Amino acid sequence: MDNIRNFCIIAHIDHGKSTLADRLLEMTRTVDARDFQDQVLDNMDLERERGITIKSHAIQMSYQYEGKNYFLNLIDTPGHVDFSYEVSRSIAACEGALLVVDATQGIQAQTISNLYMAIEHGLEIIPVMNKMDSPSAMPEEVKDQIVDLIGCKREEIIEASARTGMGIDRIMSEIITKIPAPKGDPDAPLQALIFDSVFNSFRGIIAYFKIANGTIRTHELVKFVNTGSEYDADEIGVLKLKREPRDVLRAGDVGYIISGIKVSAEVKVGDTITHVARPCDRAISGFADVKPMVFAGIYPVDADDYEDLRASIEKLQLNDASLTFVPESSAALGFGFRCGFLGLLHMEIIQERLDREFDMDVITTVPNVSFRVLTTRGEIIDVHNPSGMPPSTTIDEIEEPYIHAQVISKSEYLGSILKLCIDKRGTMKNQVYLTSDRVEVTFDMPLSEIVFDFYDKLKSISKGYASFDYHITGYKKADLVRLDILLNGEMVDALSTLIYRGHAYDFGRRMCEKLRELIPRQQFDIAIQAAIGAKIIARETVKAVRKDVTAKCYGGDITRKRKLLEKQKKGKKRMRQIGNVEVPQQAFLAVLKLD
Amino acid sequence: MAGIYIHIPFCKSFCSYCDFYSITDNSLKDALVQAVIRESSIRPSYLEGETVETVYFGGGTPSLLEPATAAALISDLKKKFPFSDDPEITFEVNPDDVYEGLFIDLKKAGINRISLGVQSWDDKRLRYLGRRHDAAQSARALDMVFREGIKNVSVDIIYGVPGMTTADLKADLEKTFAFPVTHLSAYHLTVEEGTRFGRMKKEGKLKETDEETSASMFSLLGKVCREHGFIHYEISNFAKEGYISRHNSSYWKQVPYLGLGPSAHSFDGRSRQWNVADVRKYVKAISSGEIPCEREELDRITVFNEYVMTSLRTMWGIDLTHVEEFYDKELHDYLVNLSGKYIRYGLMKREKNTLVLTDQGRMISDNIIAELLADL
Repeated sequence: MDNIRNFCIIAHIDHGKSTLADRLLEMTRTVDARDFQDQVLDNMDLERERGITIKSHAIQMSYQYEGKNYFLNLIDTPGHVDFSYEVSRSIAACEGALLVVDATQGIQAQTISNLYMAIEHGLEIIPVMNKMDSPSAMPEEVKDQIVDLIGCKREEIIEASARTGMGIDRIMSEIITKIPAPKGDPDAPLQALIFDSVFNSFRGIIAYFKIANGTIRTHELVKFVNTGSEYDADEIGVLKLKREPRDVLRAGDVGYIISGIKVSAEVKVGDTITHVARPCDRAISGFADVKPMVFAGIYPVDADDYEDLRASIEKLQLNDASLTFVPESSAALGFGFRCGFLGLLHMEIIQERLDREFDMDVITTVPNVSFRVLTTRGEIIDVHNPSGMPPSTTIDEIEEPYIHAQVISKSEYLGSILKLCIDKRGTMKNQVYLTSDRVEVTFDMPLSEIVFDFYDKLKSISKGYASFDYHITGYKKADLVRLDILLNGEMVDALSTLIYRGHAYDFGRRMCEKLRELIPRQQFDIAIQAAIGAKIIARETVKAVRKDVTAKCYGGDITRKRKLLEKQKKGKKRMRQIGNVEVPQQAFLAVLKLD
Repeated sequence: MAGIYIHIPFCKSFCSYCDFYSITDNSLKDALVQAVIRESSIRPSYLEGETVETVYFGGGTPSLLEPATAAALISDLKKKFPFSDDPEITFEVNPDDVYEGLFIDLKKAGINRISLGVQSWDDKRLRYLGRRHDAAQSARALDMVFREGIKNVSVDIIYGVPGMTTADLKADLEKTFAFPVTHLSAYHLTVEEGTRFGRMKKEGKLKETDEETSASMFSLLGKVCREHGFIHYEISNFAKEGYISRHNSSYWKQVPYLGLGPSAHSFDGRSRQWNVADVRKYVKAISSGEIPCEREELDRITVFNEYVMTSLRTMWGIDLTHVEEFYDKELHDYLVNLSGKYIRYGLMKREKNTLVLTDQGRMISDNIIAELLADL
């Protein structure tokens, strides 16, 4: 066990985590330079394009150091805010972490929250300052930040460039010398932490784990403690660039198990694997059943594609257990699905994957958070849809999820950021100057407030400098109303929102304004109204088209003219008919892009 | 029933708005005329023996042809195709090409309808449009055409030109109707790519007339024409009783037509052909016995869509009996169903078994037609 090192990389998006991982794989000859594809760990196209690792992976490297062979398990962590629980489980599987900070950018919010998580789990932190080859590197300033943050010595910070290879040797040697080998008793009852799972179309669900205690052998009967399900360990092994089966894995090892599981929901990240015959006393702590917090309707643009959409979402769910869906129908949009996501970015990723991987043309409705309703009869109902709200007479209280939000920014933007967070019903909890011009603020905020236009606003007021991280803290009482949108007097269920009463008027007005921009003029005037119950709180009008006519249509014009009109017709077809009004798809997401 | 169109692709200069094919190099005129004659020899059976009811000389500038040449072309066509007893033969004339005796000669050639490109009665606007003539020349041409014995005279007017007001349009119409014209084609300016106006628009130097002004001009146009006893028989066309253009109507009624000359279009009921828009290529191909054209086969639905598109622009509208007999019950029902909402909105009328756009509907006819097109 003393020749194993389990570690992860903590870094902000674009700070060079993937490039650094590539260098490590190259250095240890885990990947042949010949078929080296940059950023090997991000193996979804989408991830590579966005530069964020959506789902974590793990890879084992072998490395000779002072005459001894070491096994280095790099456990990759998902790089964005909606997956903080998954990050915590990956961190729990490690004994050390490379803290990678971009020498040109300094520390960002996500880095800090992940770092805190790593420190909490007792990980050895190796500070690395990346992109030292860049002319805009500010090493002294960034070193100050790192020293302030983790209390290390300046000379402990490794100056590196994943691009040029600078500092990689030192990183390798410190991984071996500084990070402790895993502890654990190979003879104790089996306790293995599941930190990730992937779907393989031939083998089913493959779970990734780290053994805390005990030993596992192929074909043993194992049990997942939290779900209670039992499986035969058909195949176990370690993760190189490809899976390599092994007969035995022991305490400290990182590996995978294939056991004929077909449904991703059976493998819960954070669960503990033990033996059926000789179970452990208790599961590894920290398990949480992560529930989606943001819900939105996803509808096929073409109603005939409903079954295809179902099949596509099912496939996505196979390797993304945090995605949930149930069928729902909307008067405006027909048949579709109510989908649950961890957060807004997760939702965007799913939408994009539906488009790219499955070529599905979908309409996504206004998202909302998961509300908890206490009824007068003492029941608790989770409400995922404005139309699912019980009649107001039966509601005793509504609660909404709250988050702990953390923003790090240059201090010159602090004023605007505070104002934004307070406008979004945030309560400031803490404010810390990381350096003289970088400040970290923390807020308690309703999750619903970041669902609408929070990221974009934060980015624009801080000129892109502010970074943001959050985690869910619990539920609090909410004063909500249902805001409906009517087009020519007809309610559009897909545009209804549950919203904080104090924001309803302003929100309704802005919704109407935005819809006026998005709904093309038609053959008659269109009244756009926002209403709370029977009360109209805002109104806009889309004036009718006054003139749309071609002057000439003779022999030579007929073909060309017909083609133009066919195109015009296609444009109309892409819209949804609501009552007599044609509504373009993007109108259903208008709410997210309010100015 | 059939029509023949002859494209004369020569102009002395280009107008700012026009995107019809033409060149300013006159030297190929004789070669072109020979090629047109040759083309009609290559395609004698295109009209499948249908009686030719109309001939139309368009351009370009047909009035750059000698009347004798026009006479030769007409008599040649009459030898090759069966003509009706009273064909409508139209010749487009630019006011600045008119001279004493021209219309007498054209009449002798067999031409019985003149379409005069007046465009505007305001000299400043005429220059802006890139026209070579002035209002005085238009007046002289109109005096002359009636004096020299051609009764059926159409005038072209352009409105919706940047800076033009409804009062300007009214003045143009009144000046036109001061002459005993029988027909008016009034076109709203369309800024086309590849024209001088198109380039100005791209460079932000041309601001198109706003929708409200355009709409009020369109209603004023209809009103003034009605007051002068004109029938508004197509979006841009008005005629005195008995003077509706038979040639243009045939385009909208899916009558077959043969187009001769570069860029000319032909239609035989099932397909469309259009000749290359290049005089040299055209002449060369024809001289080696080939028709240099592209071709589009029309399936049944496309023919239907073209019928909807062209017929709704006219006062005759969609003939539902024709749709049911010539196409099928399904398309008939499709139209009847969809028309319901337009009738409710006052955009369409159902008269016996026809669907006709109201004045209000005509103003947004593209919008309505696009919706009515059947799926391929």
